Amino acid sequence: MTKIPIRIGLEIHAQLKTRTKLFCSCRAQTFGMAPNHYICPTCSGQPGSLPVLNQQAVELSIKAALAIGSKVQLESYFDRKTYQYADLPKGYQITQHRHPIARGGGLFIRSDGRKARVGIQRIHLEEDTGKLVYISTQKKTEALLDLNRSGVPLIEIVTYPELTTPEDTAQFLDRLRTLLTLFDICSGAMEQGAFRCDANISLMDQKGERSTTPVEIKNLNSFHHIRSALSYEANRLVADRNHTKNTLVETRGWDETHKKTYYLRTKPRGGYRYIPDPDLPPIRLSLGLVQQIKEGMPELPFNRADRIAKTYGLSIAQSEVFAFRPTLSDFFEECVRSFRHVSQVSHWVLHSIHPILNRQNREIHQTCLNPHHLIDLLKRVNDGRITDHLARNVLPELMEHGGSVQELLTAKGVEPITSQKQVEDLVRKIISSHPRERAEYNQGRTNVLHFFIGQVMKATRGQAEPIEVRKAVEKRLKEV
Amino acid sequence: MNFTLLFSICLFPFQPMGECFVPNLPHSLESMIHLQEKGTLHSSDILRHTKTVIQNQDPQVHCMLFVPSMDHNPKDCDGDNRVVFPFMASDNILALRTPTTCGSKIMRNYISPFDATVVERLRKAGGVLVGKTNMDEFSMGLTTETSGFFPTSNPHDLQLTPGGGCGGSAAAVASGIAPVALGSDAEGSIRIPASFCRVIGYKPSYGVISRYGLISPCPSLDAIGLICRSTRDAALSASWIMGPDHKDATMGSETIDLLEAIESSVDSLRLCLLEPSNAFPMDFQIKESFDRAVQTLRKTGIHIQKEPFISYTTLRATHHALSCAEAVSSLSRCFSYARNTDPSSLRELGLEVKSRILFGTLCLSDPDGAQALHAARCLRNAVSRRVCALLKRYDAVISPTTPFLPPKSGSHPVELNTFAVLANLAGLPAITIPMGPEQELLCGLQIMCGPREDAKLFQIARQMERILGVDLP
Repeated sequence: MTKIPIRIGLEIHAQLKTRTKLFCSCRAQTFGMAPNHYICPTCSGQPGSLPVLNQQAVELSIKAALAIGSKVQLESYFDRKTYQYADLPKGYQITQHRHPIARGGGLFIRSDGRKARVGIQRIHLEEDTGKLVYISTQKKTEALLDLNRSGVPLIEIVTYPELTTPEDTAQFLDRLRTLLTLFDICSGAMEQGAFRCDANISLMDQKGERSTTPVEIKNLNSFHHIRSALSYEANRLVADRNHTKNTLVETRGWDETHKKTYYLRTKPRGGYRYIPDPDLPPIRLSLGLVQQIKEGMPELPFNRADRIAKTYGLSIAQSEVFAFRPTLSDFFEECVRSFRHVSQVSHWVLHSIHPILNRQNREIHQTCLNPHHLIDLLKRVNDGRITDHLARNVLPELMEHGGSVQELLTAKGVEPITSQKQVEDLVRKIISSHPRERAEYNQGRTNVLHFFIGQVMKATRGQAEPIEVRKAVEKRLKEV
Repeated sequence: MNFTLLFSICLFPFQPMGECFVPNLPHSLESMIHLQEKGTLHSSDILRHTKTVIQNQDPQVHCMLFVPSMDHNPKDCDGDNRVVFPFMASDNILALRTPTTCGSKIMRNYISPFDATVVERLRKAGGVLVGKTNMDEFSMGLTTETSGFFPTSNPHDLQLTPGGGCGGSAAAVASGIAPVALGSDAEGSIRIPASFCRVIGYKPSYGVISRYGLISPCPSLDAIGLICRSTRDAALSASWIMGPDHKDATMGSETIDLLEAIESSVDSLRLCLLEPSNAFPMDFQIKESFDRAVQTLRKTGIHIQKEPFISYTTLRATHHALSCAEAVSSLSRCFSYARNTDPSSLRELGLEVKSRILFGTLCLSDPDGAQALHAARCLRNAVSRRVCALLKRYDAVISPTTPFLPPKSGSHPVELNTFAVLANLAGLPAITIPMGPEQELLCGLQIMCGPREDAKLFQIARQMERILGVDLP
């Protein structure tokens, strides 16, 4: 099948990790808590209540803006988005329509092996809605309302329609999610709805222009759903010849069980009747505050990747791993500072330590491994005191329990093979004690070679380097 | 209607009535508190008396929507403060565990889950809530006739309307039920009824009194204010409810001292009369009394000058578009409440509310409507700048409060807010005081000062009260 030319734009909703809700002092992190326990007159939309802005949410959204290179607007406003739905007790959602808190920015992904930039249009601050819980019995389905989530601060990040494949989309979202988690802006828990996304997809003509109105797919909350829903929808759009430039913008949902999208609604007629919220003054920020937040932030991942690639001569793929693992990257840099075998260290960090961390879902500082351990280990390998193989075997234990490398090796009962000479002596001894096998070898049965290697390895309890042993055995057998 | 009877009620509102006899109950909030501090008046007498007045007056005036049991809760007030006073609130201001209907049947079962900041602060000062007063449905009206329950009468002449939206509050204060009533003013809804009932109506600057707990259809124009029997009472009670409130994000942070300079006259006072470009309808009687009042003021050496200004019709249209547009989203939570509790009640929504919501929706959705709304916002900014510039050169702007005398019920005049809406559009403080000493003169003089000049406003109002001879004995 040829690739379908599509354009995908995203609207990502990320819940901010604030202590309280956006406009009241109710607890914000309530996933899995008893329903309707964390509500007050303001977030339940009681007549007469008023919203008061949470400063922490503003700071976190500034942080998000800085993280993706978006320009923070020093003056932004709240608007009311009016629509009627059961999970919206006020009858409107407080959001930023005309003047969002940040504009512009972008994030890099690897598309077809090349670095590609996905442009960000805007970031705005808004409140989450309540949640409808459906309870089905055999006779009927009932909807229950839980307002714990109502008023939880969200940032909505809107991208330009610049993504071209479902895979790129998933990668972009993964990077964005990692970024927001990294800076402690959002928990990133997709299964809890803390990071979710609406995608709009449209077909393109040969000139690279949109040939259909976009279709919006709502509430995609796992990377798997995003990939399957977008692929399905792209194929559906190609098949549906009635869908043209003039079709109304339509919203669809994703049905995971039947693996298909289904019609939800078209946009409300007359739009959302946006009006500036008269209950909230504009957000006015000082350059000083933005600067202060910027200084308090760790190095941005893409700056880090560029710097590491340049300083240590690593490949883009290697440095990008470090971009999103700042603790691992700090660990690497500290090792390299006192132990200058850069490629050896990076190889160990990326191919030995990184997979273990991934498997255990931990960060390097959560293990017992420190840079001295690794340097000690690598020095021993380079001096030939232990083998690479053995060092790799010791590593998980070091990460788990720490301690000194020497003690660990002794505890394992390992007397390190110190020299080539020792191996050669051992080989000589073993060959002379097995005259029958040796005779077989001389008669042309070269397989016996493996028998000797095995014997030597057994005698060294696996500490000898098999290649070296093989060489020594071959040499000895030929000599005699 | 026996006019002399009502006349005497207004002059001597605390005359003994019914079975209860309380001698020498004072006219004003100030003396009520003074006598209690001296120990010659007991709080239980005041509350007993209030109950009696409500029993006698309310069946004729129909100003109360709800009368709670008036048990004073000592926990509400500060420490040793044993002083109490009765107060009322219009029915769009929340008071814990009382119904808050906004004068609408769709809200008839709504019980306030909390106290509005103003109610909480009045209770703290010793206030006892003695009633929720009638009002136009969601404050949308100028005569209290759009109330979903019943219309209120003007206590000075039961044939006449008391003005609106907070007609119940003004009528109740004029009937002598209590010396203080809270109300809200989005289009003169405090000042119009106060002028028709010959009492004081004060609308503060925007952002001086907390709106937390006010069900407001147009928050950017609305302010909670007071209806009292004297300027001094209004200043005293305003000083209790003013000041920063962390629950209302539109509040300023500074405090204003209203009482400090209230008795000192402003030197070489300069007043401004707005002269709109277009002619507008106005009762001859009001024009005459206003001219007389201006002459009296001029005689005392006050400098009064005319300044050209934008037409009142444009001001009213601007106000109407903005307030209706805001009402669409602001009231949707009340409609949600009705839909979720008793959907059939939505059929009882009044015509005025429906038409304003429809007009607001039109302004927000239609491309032409959006253009009109944008024009209205620009006009509002321009007018605010213009009037603020004027108020830098003058101490205050004066005008009649309304262009008409109180209308008979059923006549539905729409232009009553002609002089009132400017203060709402520009967020200025304004007060209405009776225009002359004649008791049958049911119209007010409106004074308007620059933003946050509430202290100066009271100073000028007090000065004029003395000059015009309308202050309480």
